[in-house]
Amino acid sequence: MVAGGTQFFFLTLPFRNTSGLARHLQRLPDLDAADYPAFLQEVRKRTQSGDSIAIFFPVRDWNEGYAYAYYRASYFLTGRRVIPLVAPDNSLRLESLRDAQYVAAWGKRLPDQYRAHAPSWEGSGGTLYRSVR
Amino acid sequence: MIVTVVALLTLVAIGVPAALALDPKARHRLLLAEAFLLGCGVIALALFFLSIVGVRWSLVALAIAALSVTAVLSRFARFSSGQRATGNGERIAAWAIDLMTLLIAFGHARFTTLASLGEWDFWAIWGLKARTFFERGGIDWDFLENPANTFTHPDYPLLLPLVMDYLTLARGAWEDQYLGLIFTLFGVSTLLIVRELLERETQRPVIAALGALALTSSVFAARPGIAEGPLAAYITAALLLLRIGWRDGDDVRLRAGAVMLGLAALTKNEGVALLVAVVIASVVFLRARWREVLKLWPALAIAATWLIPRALHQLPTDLFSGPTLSERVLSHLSTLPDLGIALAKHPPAQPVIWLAIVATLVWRARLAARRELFILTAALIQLIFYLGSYIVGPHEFEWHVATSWARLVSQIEIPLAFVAMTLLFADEESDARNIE
Repeated sequence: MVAGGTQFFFLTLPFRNTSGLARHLQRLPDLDAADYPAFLQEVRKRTQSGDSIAIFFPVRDWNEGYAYAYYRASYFLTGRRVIPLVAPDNSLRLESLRDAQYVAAWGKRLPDQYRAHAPSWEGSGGTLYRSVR
Repeated sequence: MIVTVVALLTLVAIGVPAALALDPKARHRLLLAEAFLLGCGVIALALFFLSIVGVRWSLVALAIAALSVTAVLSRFARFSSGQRATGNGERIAAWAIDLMTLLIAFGHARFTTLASLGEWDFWAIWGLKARTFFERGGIDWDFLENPANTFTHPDYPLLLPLVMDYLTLARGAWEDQYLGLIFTLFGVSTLLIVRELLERETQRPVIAALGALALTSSVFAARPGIAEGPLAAYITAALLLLRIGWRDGDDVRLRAGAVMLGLAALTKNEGVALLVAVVIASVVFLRARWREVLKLWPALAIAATWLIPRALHQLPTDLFSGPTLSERVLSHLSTLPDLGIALAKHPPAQPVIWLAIVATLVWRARLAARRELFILTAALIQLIFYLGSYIVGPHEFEWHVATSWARLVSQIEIPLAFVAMTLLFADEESDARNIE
């Protein structure tokens, strides 16, 4: 029991260089979207509590990436109303754009012919659009 | 990090009067563990009630509330001469082993603070709620009631987010790197309880120290950022204290165990399930004296502080919700063999510990049945509840088992391992004489 139950990894950790492990752990939640957290933090700085922000993400499959984008945005944009544009059944909810003061588009820009929101900031792989109405 | 460490030490200090009031016999390691666990409970309930009465959270308001509770509890705090374990000859060897355990805990603290907490369930559930409440200055019932936020499991109890909010208030701003220390301290509390009670039970400091060391993988397996570690700490405290309470007719330990059980119910819904399991197991254990189960009332009172508001706000739980509940149950029952296959494919995270538990229970079956009826019955009922949740749950068996089985059984792993260790070193003949 002692041999099988002793946690040797943590026993040796204080004596090892942990900078590589720290970098790995910091990136782990966002391996496929490394700049996404930085983008969301900039969106947070440029919006106010109570603002409504729709999330535009290159992945449209809920279980294959959109849920991650929506939940991650909910965490970084607390106090704002985060609006998903994809439903759990993978159907698009583009009509929700009407309710959004902002659109946080990461990894893909909004189509050029879309005019209801205009770019207000760009960086960290994404663009923040603001409603022109 | 300094601010977080000071805040955590303050939490322990707040919990000391509660621990002495609740369990005057607690000493040393057990006192320290109970102080931390109860300190978390006091802080969480203080923040909860500040929110209920409409007082916006601030460090000043929290300090007044928490210190008021501490002052009241201090009036009931008592020191009493605790039982001192013997085995002094082994003490130096035991301390050397304890040093290893301490080093492992330090390594865990290092690990949990290397980066922002990155678990999915942290930033989608526990941390998300804590951050939302902090910005609101109180519990955001609108957020919890909003159908768009059902992914955050609004029905989950709030002890862990509220403890995170306490640390955030102390810092003055949200940060998610040093919050990891909470999870180390919950793990340390679990180990302190096991270490202390194992030494009292076996009268062998080296055995107790080795037992705690052997459980470091189990204790620190819970990923930081989710509620499994905190829940395991409260479940371990509750079951081991209640075990002493029922076995020795010790009402003080019963009351302490009941409070810990209530705090388990404030940590996760599995804690509520355990409350039911403990009541049933207690009735089975007590038999003709079953009315003594009313002594567990503190557990119900504490659990009710969340269950009543949850019901009033109609916060949904995905387990029993949906128009297709009966269809799901019938469908799952018709594919029950798939559950067995899924369980076989996804064993517990600590197979060596579980093998040792099962092997010991089989080898010492007669002694286990005679001496550990309460705790084994409670654990068995809890396991049945876990399996039942798969039958009722909205997803297929494979998904449910793959994503939760190892986590769920880890919640009761420590108390069962403790029982196995005590059975290994019990003298069956003298035990039988004592019981007669």
